Amino acid sequence: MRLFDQIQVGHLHIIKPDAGQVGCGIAEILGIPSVTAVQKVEAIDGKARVERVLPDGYETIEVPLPALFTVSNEIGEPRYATLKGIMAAAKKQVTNWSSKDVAPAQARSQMLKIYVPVHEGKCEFIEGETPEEAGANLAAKLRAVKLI
Amino acid sequence: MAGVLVFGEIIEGKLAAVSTEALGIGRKLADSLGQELAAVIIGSGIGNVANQAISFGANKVYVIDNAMFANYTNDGFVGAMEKLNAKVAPEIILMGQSSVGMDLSPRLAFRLGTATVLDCVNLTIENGKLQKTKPVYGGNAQAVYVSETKPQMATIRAKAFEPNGPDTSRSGEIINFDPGLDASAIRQKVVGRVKEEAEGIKLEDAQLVVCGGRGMGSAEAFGVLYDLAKVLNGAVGASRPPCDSGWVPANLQIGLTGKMVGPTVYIGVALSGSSQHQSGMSGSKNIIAINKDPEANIFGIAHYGVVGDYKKVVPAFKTKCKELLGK
Repeated sequence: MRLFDQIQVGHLHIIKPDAGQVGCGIAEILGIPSVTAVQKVEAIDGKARVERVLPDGYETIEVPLPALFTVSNEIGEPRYATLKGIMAAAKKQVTNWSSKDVAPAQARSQMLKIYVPVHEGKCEFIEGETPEEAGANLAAKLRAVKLI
Repeated sequence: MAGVLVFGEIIEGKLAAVSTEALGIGRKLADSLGQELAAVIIGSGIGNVANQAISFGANKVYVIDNAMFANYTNDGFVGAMEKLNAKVAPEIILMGQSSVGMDLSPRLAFRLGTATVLDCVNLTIENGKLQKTKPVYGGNAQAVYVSETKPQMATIRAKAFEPNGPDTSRSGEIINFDPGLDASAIRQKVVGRVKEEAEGIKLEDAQLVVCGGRGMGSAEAFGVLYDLAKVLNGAVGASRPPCDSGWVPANLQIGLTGKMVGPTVYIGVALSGSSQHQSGMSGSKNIIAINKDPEANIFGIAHYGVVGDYKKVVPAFKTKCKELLGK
């Protein structure tokens, strides 16, 4: 029995100190192909056709299933939960696994420390009688220090 | 195991800027280990890129040149790197935090039974081990990692390190390497590519960037920034809200989930300077901020600032620039 056709994992790691490699790692462990930063997925003849976001556009990739995709925010808007769905969710059993159940391998990276970098505030404020004058003074200043 | 190996990404037939930066820091790490710096380039018809890698400091360049590598694919490049790693056994593997690097490095690390740290902004050798610093919590903090497994791997953030070169008087050894992969083992097939060009100077390459934020208020309001960028020969960027609101195309976004820029001059207009945005522009050499809120975060990292309504400040600024530059 095939347990999965595709697995999608969030591509963006905005707040958490995660490593940005969960998706690729799972795919490697499962031995299935992966495509990252996917903005669109279509199923075609037992394969998937996906669009992978690039800095200057996107590329279209065909890949056999099962496959793992990490998705970018272009993939779509989150759906609102329906009232029926919320009611049904309240009755669902939640299985809790502890770290013993999933028996993680020894971590291969260790975090030695975490710190907040200190920025030295040293902004030179350019002023003027009016906002327009301040704007003109800024131009004069940038010219004087050869930035424009 | 010995040596630093840099994966050299090729963009339009040239070594990517971030790869030249990886060679720059790679050279330093190799020197502090007293070891060699090697580069690997993978593609089809890419022989001339090897000399570029040497000019940026590589002692050796491994060239993996085959039609099956004409496009980047995860299976193809991970497979090729796995074979090369078996031959070279490097101590450290570095690459850029690009759409290729962030796809290749994690899977390669898992394949090799080691670990990678993505998006590093500092790399040093301490007690013979690679210490890898990356921004976490949306750029509010930095964390330092070390790995016990070999090879030690990392991707580097664009503009976080300086390239060392080009110096065409450097010499090095070019080695062709056949990883012996079967093209049928590559499961991803690239069937098309769409380029979405932004007008004018490319944001990542611009020496001057004019960037608008949420306070701009509308798509029309960006007109004055485009005019200013034209006068100053720069490019226009934006923080996230203008992109999410559809005022400007998404590919103008600068920040954690957008582009990384490090121009000589960055001018931030009507943007607060969130830590996410700062992640994408804090490498700028000179930061200028225009904002009506004197408490805006952006002033904390700016070198020059004007507190005022951009609608009044920017047109006058643009007119004076035009006059000073004789345009």
